Amino acid sequence: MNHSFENEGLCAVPAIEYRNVYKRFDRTDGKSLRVRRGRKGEDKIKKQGENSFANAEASAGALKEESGFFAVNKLSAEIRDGELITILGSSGCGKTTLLKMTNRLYEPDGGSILLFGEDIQKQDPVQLRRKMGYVIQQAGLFPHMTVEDNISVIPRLLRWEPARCRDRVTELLALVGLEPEQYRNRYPSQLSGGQQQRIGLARALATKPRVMLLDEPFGAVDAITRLNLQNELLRIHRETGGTFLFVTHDIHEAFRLGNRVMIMNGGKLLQMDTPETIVRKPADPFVETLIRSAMDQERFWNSSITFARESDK
Amino acid sequence: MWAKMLEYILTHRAALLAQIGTHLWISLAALAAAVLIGVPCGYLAANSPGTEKWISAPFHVLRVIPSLAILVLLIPVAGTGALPAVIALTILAVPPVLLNTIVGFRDVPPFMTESAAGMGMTDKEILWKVRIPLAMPMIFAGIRTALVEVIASAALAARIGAGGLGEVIFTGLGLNRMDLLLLGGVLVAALSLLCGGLFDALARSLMPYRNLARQQ
Repeated sequence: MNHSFENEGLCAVPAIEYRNVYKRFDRTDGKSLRVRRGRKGEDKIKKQGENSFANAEASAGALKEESGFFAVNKLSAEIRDGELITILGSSGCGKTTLLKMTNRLYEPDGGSILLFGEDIQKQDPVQLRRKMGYVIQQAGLFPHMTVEDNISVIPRLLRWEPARCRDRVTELLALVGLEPEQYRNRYPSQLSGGQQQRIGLARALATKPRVMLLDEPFGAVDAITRLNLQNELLRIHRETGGTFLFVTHDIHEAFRLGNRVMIMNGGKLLQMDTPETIVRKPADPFVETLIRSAMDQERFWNSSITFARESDK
Repeated sequence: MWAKMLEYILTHRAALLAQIGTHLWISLAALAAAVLIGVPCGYLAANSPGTEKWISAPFHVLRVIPSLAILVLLIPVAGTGALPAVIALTILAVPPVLLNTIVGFRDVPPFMTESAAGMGMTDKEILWKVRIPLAMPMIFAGIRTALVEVIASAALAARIGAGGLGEVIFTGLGLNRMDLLLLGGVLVAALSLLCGGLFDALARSLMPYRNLARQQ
């Protein structure tokens, strides 16, 4: 299960570096935030409620506070090239906000984010996002496009040759474990939830991005499918060698996948370390509680099994 | 009566065809105008909720006035003939197109546009490749409603000399001939159903993904 990268010396520049990043939302009523991006990708939070591009976590948090709150509060972290980092925290802890700031769907109010040493604020958001893969919980496949068209959306916008698009789709479908000829002409509505996630993953990988952002991609699939997808993700990470940032609220998922885990609460980074170190030396009472709750669950399963065996006799 | 209807059809074949033609022409012109007005206005209204009531309210008010009254009211402004008929029918046809366009754009799930933006699509690409195609089924449903309504109401246009199948109905009324009344009514209904069916076929061929059952 150890798939860590020993490349600190190899690549001195971190893949992603957060420097004192913070983001403040100041909506206080029940309406969700409306974030509109201009062509330059700057997000404008508007007061209107409907049709919002909202961050549910942010609006949930906004309800709690009197006026304004920090979704992400002075967070600094370094992610090395090739790492698979999981970001763990409960709803409203700022993990999704952090991820969305990384591809400039949200703009930080302060601090800076560096991608391979370059400030992302100085880059064109559209170009920046094309260098990163982005997968969300709902998969977000376009229902009016076939699997093939979905996967090759960005390659086609980049005006790749049709043959090159087709080859890449074949390659990607095979990579995510789906028979290319069987699936390429299907529509998303003809796929199961797990298959849709696989296509979502394939689409994000289409242009071979060095950084992948995954926002609870397996949050809406059943436990067995999730286990399969997690294994596939580990394999894909190994094969592509990219830097993966994986947001989850599932502690088992976070510790199973991440070669380092970032634990967040209330917009702050509590601990960032390998799963083993976190379990051995929790840096914070919250982290301790988190681990204890996971262990309690474990104990429940173990005791149930013993109980079942006892009653079998 | 059936014999009389059949006889009328045979003797007035050319006139009937011309009336059907005029009827269709007036209806489709009104529908086209309604789409040209309704879809862009609906897009604007969906984008900024503040403007919605200003955009849709006038059409709701106008729609309450019966089409016949609008036709008569338009005579001093637009005279008689086809033009006032097209205007009155456009007023009738805009609300369903407008409302469905607003709903269509509103109902595009935020995660879908966000996913598109996160992939690196520009706002323009998101509009043309994601938002419009996703709003399309709803817009088409609105156009279909408007189409059927307009064809049915276009019969009134004959009242102000615009022609169409309404002429048959009004002649029947004037001469107290049940066969003509029935013939006109049946033809209008048949035309309306036929156009609705054709439109459905068009929508199906443009949006194949709408009719798929999940198959493993």
